[in-house]
Amino acid sequence: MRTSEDWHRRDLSHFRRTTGADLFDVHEHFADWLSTARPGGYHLYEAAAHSAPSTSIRMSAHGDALINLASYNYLGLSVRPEVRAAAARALETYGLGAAGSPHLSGLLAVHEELAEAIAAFKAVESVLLFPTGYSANVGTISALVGPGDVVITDILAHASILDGCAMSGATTRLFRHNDCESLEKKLAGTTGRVLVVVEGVYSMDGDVAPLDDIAALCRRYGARLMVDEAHSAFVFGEHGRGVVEHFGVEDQVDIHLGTLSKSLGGMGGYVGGTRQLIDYLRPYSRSQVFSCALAPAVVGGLVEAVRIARDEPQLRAKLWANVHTMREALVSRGVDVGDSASQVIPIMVRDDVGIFPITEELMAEGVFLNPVRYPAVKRNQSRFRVSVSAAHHPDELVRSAEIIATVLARHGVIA
Amino acid sequence: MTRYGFDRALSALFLADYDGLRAQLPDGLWPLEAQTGFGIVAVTAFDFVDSEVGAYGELVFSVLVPPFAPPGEALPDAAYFPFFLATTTEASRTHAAERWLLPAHASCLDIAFDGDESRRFVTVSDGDAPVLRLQVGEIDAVAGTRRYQCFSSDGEALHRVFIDIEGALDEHEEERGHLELARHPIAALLGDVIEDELPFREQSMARGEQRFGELLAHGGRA
Repeated sequence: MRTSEDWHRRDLSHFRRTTGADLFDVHEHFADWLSTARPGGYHLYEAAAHSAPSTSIRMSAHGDALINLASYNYLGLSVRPEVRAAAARALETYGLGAAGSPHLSGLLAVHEELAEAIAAFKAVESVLLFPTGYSANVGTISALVGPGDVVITDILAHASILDGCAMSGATTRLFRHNDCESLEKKLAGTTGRVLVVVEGVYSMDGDVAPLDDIAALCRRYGARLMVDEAHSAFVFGEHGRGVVEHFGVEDQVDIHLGTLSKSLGGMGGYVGGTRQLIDYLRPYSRSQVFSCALAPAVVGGLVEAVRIARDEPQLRAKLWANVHTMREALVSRGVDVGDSASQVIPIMVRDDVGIFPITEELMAEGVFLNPVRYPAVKRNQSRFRVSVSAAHHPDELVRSAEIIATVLARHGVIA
Repeated sequence: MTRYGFDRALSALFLADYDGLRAQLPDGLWPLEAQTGFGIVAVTAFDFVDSEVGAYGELVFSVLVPPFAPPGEALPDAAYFPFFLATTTEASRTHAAERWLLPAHASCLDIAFDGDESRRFVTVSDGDAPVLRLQVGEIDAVAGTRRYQCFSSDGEALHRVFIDIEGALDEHEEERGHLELARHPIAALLGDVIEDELPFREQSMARGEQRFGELLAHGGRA
């Protein structure tokens, strides 16, 4: 008889594959495990919200609103009235879907407007849109490299980067996280054409890639450099152009990639660079060619979101003030926030089982956070990941920090 | 049931090139992906003190593979295919090859354990020639058991056996370990495939027992 404690011994990594006569053999094991893991804590994943992912969120139809520290809405743009109105106008003009690949009938004027707006914002010659950030990485990497080429990427690179590498057929090498010595070792041991792929801000730790040093190494070894700014574009840098602007290396980066779902609050991905690069990617990035173009309502809203990000630099100033407020509020209460240097602030719990009841207590006390645990992070490196937004009121953040510290102390995570 | 008592065992798991690992496996098995494009190789050493072939040291290189677990059978904690095994005595090498169909090296190696409560080491040499030195960090060993599945091949067909390990177990991903490979053909088996000398998972076991179940034909050709 399985007990409720048994699920602790397993995690998602145990059910990835089995061998056996039937492809579905593993499903029974997984279902058996999930039947106890879900009530044990996994019900906290894929929980449907009943409101917009704003600074507050309702996790049940009639429940109280919780302070939302979990959504990527870094500039609060997903719920801005101007953005909603622009999305509604695009919906009225174009209807629900683009009804085709951008390579054929799906490209609408509003797509071109958005691509040009992002290119101007990022100060690159041209931009290509993708249905998601995931498909942007997969489509870009697999279009640019192939068998015989080498991709060197950070060991903590996003799954979409690794999946793009695998799809490309190129040899993939990993260097230690944000470790330029390790990167140089890989570069020195590699011959042939090399693409280095890093992220601007790493989403699980909130730390920033040392792009100045990485760019210098790429120059020294003749490697092309691609930077995924999913969590840093529109928020880092004086003008919001990302970590590349923050480090002053915009002209040393060959491929600028990002998402439209985080700081801009919409959906999709983009890649930017020279016109020649983008013209090449347009027919060869299969994840874009063989997908329907982005929904026009989303794109219409994004055009307005980019305008706001450009015209309201005070939003970035407010975001960074909020980040400072939240970090100070947490650290002063003894909370371990790791090495974060961004608006993504991990709260280290380091208890893969205990994090679930802590999550439930936080929700009961009015704070919404997602538990992050193995295999998303290393074993016993479980954490919450606070996403600070410019839209948060500083009082909300301080109040959240008080609740978080109180609950963590109650569970012995902090003194 | 075949029992092997050990005083000390160290194991470290490394990310490794998928295709490089695939080349070490017989038909019917393939590497378990840790991340897209990367499998896992395990370096394990035992200091056996009690077995039917006496006391001996053992070094094993294995590829982690998906377990065989049809509905109704227990799902093991992990499954391994050892592609290299060396011991310190001829009797134990012969035993491993004949009883468990494991790929025993043709000659004996020297396998020595040392370290303290926070860092454990195993040093392997081939006569005067160093092979490798593995460091594993130890944090908090607690009594526990693990059930593993081990695949082996007789050159024509695959076989499998459950292995239960019981003892004081310490397992973590705190990046305290290190693998130092010498210029040696045995070390090259690892050097050619692992991504980094830093293991992503470390295991230390003490004063325990390894229990092998019945070796079963797995079906399919090797």
